[in-house]
Amino acid sequence: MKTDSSLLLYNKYYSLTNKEIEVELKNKTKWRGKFLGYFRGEKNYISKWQLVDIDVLFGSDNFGFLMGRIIVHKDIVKIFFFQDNSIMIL
Amino acid sequence: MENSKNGIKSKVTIASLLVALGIIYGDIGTSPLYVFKAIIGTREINMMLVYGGVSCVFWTLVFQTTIKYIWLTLRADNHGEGGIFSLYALVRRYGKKLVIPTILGATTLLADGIITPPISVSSAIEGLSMVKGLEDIIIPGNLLTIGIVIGILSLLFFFQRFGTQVIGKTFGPIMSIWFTMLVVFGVRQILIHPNILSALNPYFAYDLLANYPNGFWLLGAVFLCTTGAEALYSDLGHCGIKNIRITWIYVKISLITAYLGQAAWLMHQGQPLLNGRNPFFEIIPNWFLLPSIVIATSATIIASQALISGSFTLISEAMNLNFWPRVTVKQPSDSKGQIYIPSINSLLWFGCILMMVYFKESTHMEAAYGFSITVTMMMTSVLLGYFLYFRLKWNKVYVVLFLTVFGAIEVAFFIANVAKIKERWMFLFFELFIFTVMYYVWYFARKINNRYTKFIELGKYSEQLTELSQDFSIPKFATHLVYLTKADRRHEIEEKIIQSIFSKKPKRGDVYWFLHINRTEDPFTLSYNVSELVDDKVIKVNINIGFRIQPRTELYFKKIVQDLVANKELNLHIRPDGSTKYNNEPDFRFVVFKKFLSVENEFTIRDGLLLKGYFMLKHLGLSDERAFGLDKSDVEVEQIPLVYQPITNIQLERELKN
Repeated sequence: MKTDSSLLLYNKYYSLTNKEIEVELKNKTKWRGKFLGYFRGEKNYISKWQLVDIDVLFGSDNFGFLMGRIIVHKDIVKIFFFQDNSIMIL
Repeated sequence: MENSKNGIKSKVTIASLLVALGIIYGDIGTSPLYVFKAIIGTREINMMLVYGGVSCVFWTLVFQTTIKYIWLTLRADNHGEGGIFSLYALVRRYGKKLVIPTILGATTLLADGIITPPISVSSAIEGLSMVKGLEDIIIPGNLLTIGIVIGILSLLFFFQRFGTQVIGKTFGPIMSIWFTMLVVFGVRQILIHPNILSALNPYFAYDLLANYPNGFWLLGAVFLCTTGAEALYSDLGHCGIKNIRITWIYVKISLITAYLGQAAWLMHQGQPLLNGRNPFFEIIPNWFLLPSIVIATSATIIASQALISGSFTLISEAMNLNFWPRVTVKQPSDSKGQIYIPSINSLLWFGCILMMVYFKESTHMEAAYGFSITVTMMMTSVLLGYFLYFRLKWNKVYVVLFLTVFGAIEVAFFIANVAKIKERWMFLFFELFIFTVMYYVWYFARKINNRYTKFIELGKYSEQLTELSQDFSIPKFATHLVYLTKADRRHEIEEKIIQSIFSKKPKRGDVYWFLHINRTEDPFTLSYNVSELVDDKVIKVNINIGFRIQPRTELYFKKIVQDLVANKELNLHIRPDGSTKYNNEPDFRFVVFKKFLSVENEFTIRDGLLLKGYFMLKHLGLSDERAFGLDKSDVEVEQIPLVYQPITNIQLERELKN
């Protein structure tokens, strides 16, 4: 059975105390911040992540507009974890 | 010792065998009323047809009922429970697409609950036309016959609300009399034409199907002898496997005797055509005709009762597995497991009346009946294949062999039944379409719902929750503030819950509870576990509830708090249950979300249709607070818009004044 990379990332991410990460996407863009939330998937454990700035607490602003950006899990190529300087290649 | 649902032990006693006879054999046991009439129809009575017909019936009972259901399918018990949803619960982890056969099987099984009562009762009542003096009054399809059947069915459905505890005790003895009657009158005819026993040779069955003109299509009629087989599996939880298997020996002997007796009568009666006569009633001596019709009617009422109760159980399981909108479920008696669903009772009653008015006589219902059951059986075979392979670890070759043999038999029956539905098919398909759509919309729209639910880390808000709880500048909302959550992991929570607590007017509570109800694959599990994220402040509780149990969330929650207080795990500066010196009532507040579709959505056509259908059905069903067993006075309902797919890239430009 194919490994579910979203579950691996979930387990690794939620075991960290320093949640700051840098995400590299397939289109070569890089985003720095933290995962605030996620959407469950049907094939994989997580289908999408919400990435926000490190100091953001709530997922939407006072007007209800989404903070940060939604990242589709399968678009993630690489994640750098600042806590232990490790990299997860997906 | 194994306990079954009603506390009936799987241990074999005379009483348990009688219960099994009364509950599960009504459907298959009343088939002799119409099988041979359907096989012969308007065809010329000859040896090839009669011997071939009885041979087909015998081998169908051997393969389809004995081998497939009694021997194999009954092994697929989910902690003593049977039925298509129990089987689905056992195998769902092995294939996501298994939901499709489950929906189709459950749909046709529910349709069976609508078809069985009118076909069975009308077959028995039509027998009155054989009674001297009633020939010109009781004519199949006339207004009086339809009226009597509708009257009996209406009474049957009316009495459902009172439960079947008292009347149910008579079912076993009545069915015993019925099966004994089948043996006695069957043997009587066999003795007149003993050569009929040679019809058990499978060659006659082969000869009929291969050489008789249009012989293959007779399978549609033959199939009626095994229509009750699925009910054996659905009612497994009521009786236990041993009781079913032992009683089946007697039931099978009496059924075969009855069919052989009818075949023997056909061979010696001397007329070339049936001319509307029913071989079942013809083998009964005139002096016993009226009592036999009374017994037959009782047996068909018992068969109908079994299907009605089975439909209640089916829908209850469907609700708990998220296949059906939540509707009111009542317990009409003290008997554990006996349920009554008013909306399903009305639906079945209305469906049965429509069936009777539309089809008028039992003969016209046969094809629809056969069609429904063959689909259920095929779907059960698919799920059973998974069960044999993944759970019983059968060799792949044997599983393929099983699927090939029974697949071929059931596909043959299916084709023969479909071909019989030449006319009046609209009603059946309309009925099946509605049920399928309900199952499909509810199941898949919930999937979409889940897909767009955002989860966040609860621990991240522990500090804010503690701070809010101790901020006396904010009025207290409740001592125990309770949210129901879909999040099954200890640290996660839906974002909307956090929004509900902190946004607009923050909700201050002494303890924040997050309750997750986990529906287990085991039918009767009832357990819980507690995780305290912040001591006495933020607590997550997982309650595991079996899919056969109606959730009583508030009751369970109070019990959990009571346990925690008693074990000194919950220590509050106030009275632990939240009561005050002015009253003893604990201060619980449940917050339930009432969702509605926001206009700010951009869906695909399928998702949009499914979600609209979902919200329409939700409107018809029970509210969440009632569905989860919450006391209305303790519930705060919060309206929240559901934004699944927010409109993106809004090009809103401000016009600047020059």
